[in-house]
Amino acid sequence: MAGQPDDMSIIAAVVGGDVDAFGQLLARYETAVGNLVAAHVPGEDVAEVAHDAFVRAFKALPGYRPTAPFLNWLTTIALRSCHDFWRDRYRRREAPASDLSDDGQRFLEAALAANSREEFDRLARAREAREVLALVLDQLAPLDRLVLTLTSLEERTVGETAEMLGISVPNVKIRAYRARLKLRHFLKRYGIQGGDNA
Amino acid sequence: MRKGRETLNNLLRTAHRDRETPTLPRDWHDSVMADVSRLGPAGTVGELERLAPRFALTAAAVLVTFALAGYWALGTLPGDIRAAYSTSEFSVVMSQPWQNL
Repeated sequence: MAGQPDDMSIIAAVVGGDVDAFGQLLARYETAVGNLVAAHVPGEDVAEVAHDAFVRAFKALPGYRPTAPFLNWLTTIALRSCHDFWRDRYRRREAPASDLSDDGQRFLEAALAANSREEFDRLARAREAREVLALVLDQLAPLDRLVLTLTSLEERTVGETAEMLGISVPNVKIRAYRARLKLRHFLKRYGIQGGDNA
Repeated sequence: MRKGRETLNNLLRTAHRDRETPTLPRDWHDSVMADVSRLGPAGTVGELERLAPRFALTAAAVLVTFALAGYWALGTLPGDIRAAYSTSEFSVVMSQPWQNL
């Protein structure tokens, strides 16, 4: 890392008017932000949302205070971009979130009744599993789906999730509870038990 | 039931873990830098955005002040007009009494 300026000196240069210096921050964090965004939005929208996150970060850079690592600050901004992506997507959606198809329902039942680890792994890696996951998350409000993804799917703690999203711990707990409750009701509609802790 | 919950968790977690992570396109870096360059120095953008709420508040205060001043100055105007009109009408009637005969 010898010769590489630290984040704070680059930030100072950018805020001081050297717009090109922002390219160094971009090169340093684009993979991290790209991976983070890819966990929350569909693959075809990752580039656009990550782009939006960096433009927002550039605008907000004068307000950055080094009380936490720059990546943490950038993470909160990137997740806000993901949140806004879903808010816009939901707003433009003409029909409400679709229901589980017969195929999807049969797939879910088969996966839940899998007798062996191998059979379950095979089913969990199938395309249908990702479709079910997308459908399940589509039932939730934008912020609730981010909370559920971070806490349940990525197994982050409530504290980490709160810090990443820039909201309070009780807010995360309430949203996680509400999301699980909604999923339980959604799955119960199809006679599938087990949504309690999804 | 508990087994069902765990199975469902595992299913969703595995599906999430196995999703494809696309790589950013080759020209992505340049397109972000082009947008950022168009915005100008970060300090200016941030400063304007920071001041935006104050601009809005000032504009709202000026608007309210003008509205109150307008109401204070012109609030009685319709009544005054009505009174003046009635008075002039009365004067006209009284100044031509023979027409009522």
